Amino acid sequence: MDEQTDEQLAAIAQKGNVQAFGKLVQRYESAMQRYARRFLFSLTDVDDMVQDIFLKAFQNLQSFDTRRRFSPWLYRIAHNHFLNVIRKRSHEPLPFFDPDALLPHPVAPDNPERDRQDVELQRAIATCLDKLSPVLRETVVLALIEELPHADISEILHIPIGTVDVRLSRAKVKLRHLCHHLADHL
Amino acid sequence: MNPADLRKHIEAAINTGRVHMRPRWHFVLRAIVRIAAVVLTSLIALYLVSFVLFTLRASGVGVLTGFGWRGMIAYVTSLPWLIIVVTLSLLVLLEIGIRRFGIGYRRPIAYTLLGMLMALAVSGVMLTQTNLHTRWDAAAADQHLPIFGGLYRGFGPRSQHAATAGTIIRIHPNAFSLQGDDGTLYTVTYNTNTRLPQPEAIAVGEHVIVGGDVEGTTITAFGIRPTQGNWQPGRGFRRGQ
Repeated sequence: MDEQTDEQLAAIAQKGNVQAFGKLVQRYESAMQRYARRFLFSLTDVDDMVQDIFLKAFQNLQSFDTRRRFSPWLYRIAHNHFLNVIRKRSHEPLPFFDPDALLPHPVAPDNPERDRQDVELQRAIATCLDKLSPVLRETVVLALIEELPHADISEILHIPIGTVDVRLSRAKVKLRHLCHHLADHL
Repeated sequence: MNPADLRKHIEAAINTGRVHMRPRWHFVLRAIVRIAAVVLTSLIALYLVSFVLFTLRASGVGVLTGFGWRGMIAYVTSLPWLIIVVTLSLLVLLEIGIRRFGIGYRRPIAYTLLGMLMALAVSGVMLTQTNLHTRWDAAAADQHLPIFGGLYRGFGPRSQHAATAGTIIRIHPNAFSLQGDDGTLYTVTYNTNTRLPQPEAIAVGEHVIVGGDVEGTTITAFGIRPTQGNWQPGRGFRRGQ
């Protein structure tokens, strides 16, 4: 089972093979925990949440189209679950309408290598990520921590790729500003 | 929790039947319901767009725009705003609906909204060219249209009073008698401020549209336009007019 792709495992699991689904759980557990910890800073029961995500994924496995990629599908389930958690438990605002998705924006090419080597940005992510709004924070987590392609983030968040780029560049500017501001006060 | 524990927990939850995989038909049915809702909303929006276009055309209120600022005000106030607001609300619902599908969320909202608006306008104009609304409007007037009858009677061409179409049957000094298309006899008064592109059009037997303030059966006209044989009662101007 180790050589099989996620999509092949999902297809096997759709036929009722629990081990195949267990293998998918094993492959994605740490990614989901990272996503949850970084996105939902103030919440502590991450393990329960990740378990809920996989149980939801299993319940809805028949809705997965095995011709598409498994990873964005699972992240989408996690995204919806996290949003529900934020709505229920925190007072962070979750806008219904995203003005960044209104107009077209030029699509910038992914450059994860450059972001990785940007020391100032990495320091800002490590120290000031929780200061960002949930919308910007989630985009940063998916793009700069999980290092997902922007096309996948567009699939997960259900927004145009141009909007992913806008959110990301806005988040980077804000992170640098917040971190710089914080350093001045230390 | 270490990875092996979580995997064991999940597998145990599945094996003990605590969690079930929903059958494929559940998702197929849900997709069908969503698509049906989008299609139904589109059809209702299309019907309302064409209804508004039909009402404007068949009532002749479009000519008011040629009668100066008073005509413009009368035109704007005679628009069926309630229907327009309902249609725009349906458009917003439609936008929310299609953003659940890849075709919707991959594009900026402005593109999808504009695309839907244009598609609705074009198909609305095409639907207006058929005689659907004319027949339903006539049926509604005769109380023979059960479901949409109220819509035509409340918001259709017959509910518009800013423009009155009819035939001049008698001329008086600065006034004339107008036999309205609906059979009502009106007295139309006019003066030098009345917009009258062709003064010779005030002649017995001429069919005109009068824009003016209606009080009972008296219309104080601020604009009069002859229809020059291009008017079809219940349908409005022929195409291109």
